[in-house]
Amino acid sequence: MKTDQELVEEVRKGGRAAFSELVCRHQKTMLRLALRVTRDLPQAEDVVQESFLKAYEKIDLFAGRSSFRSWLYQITLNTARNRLRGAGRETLGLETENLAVKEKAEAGLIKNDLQRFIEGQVEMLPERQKIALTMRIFDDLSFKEIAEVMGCPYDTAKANYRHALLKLRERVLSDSFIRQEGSLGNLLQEVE
Amino acid sequence: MRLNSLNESNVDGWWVDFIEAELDPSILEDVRWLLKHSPSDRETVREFQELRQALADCDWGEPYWREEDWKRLHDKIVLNVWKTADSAESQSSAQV
Repeated sequence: MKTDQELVEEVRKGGRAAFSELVCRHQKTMLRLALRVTRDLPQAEDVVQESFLKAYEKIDLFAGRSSFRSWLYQITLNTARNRLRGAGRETLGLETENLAVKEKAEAGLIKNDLQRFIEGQVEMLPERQKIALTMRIFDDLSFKEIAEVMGCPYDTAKANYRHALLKLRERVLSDSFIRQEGSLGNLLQEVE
Repeated sequence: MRLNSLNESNVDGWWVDFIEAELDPSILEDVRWLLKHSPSDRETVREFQELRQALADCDWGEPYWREEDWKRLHDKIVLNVWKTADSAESQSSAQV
């Protein structure tokens, strides 16, 4: 299997099949990211479409110092942010965030209470901590890649993730329902 | 021992690094010693591992799509790129 870098080289020489393969490899991760920022599926699809177009148009600017995935991630994150800015909702307030979580839950997604509670807590994290956490846990990015996407030093990316997890643990443990159950693990087993 | 000189929040940060396999090698031995001898610290590490697992299981932001949905998105992206690229190419040929 060809590496992303090899496919990028082929795209630079006009290889359309290579670009199609890059889309195949990365569209799921980019859609998840766009969805986390926009919280709207049709808008997230547009963001991903626009991001891949930008990536194609700027492929010659990709220097290969970072991975293609983190470069594309950066483009998608900026595109999603710009879209929110354009729509006048650059940052969601706490009330809006809670409402978004509630609406999602009511839309028929089968989730247990604990998962909904955790999702709600993730939503309330400061943006940089949320991004570091979601990129690490949901998208399995390395801290080096997270630092590249966030445009910050490696230690800062790691610190954002660490603060997010510490904060979540504190909030989960302080929740009376979970405290009564004795352990997060016990509760998860019971739910399953 | 070095651990005794640190406050609790630093040590909690170590557990996060530990479960991510990102712990500074210079303190790894101290941390292993602590985990071997301290049931409460072992419990803390277990809580972090469980929290991480619970987060991973959340499917937060994941659309419930079938393969044909992903194919549709793929085709939409690729067609849009080719269309834009072809249009830019024909414009530059016209200018020449």
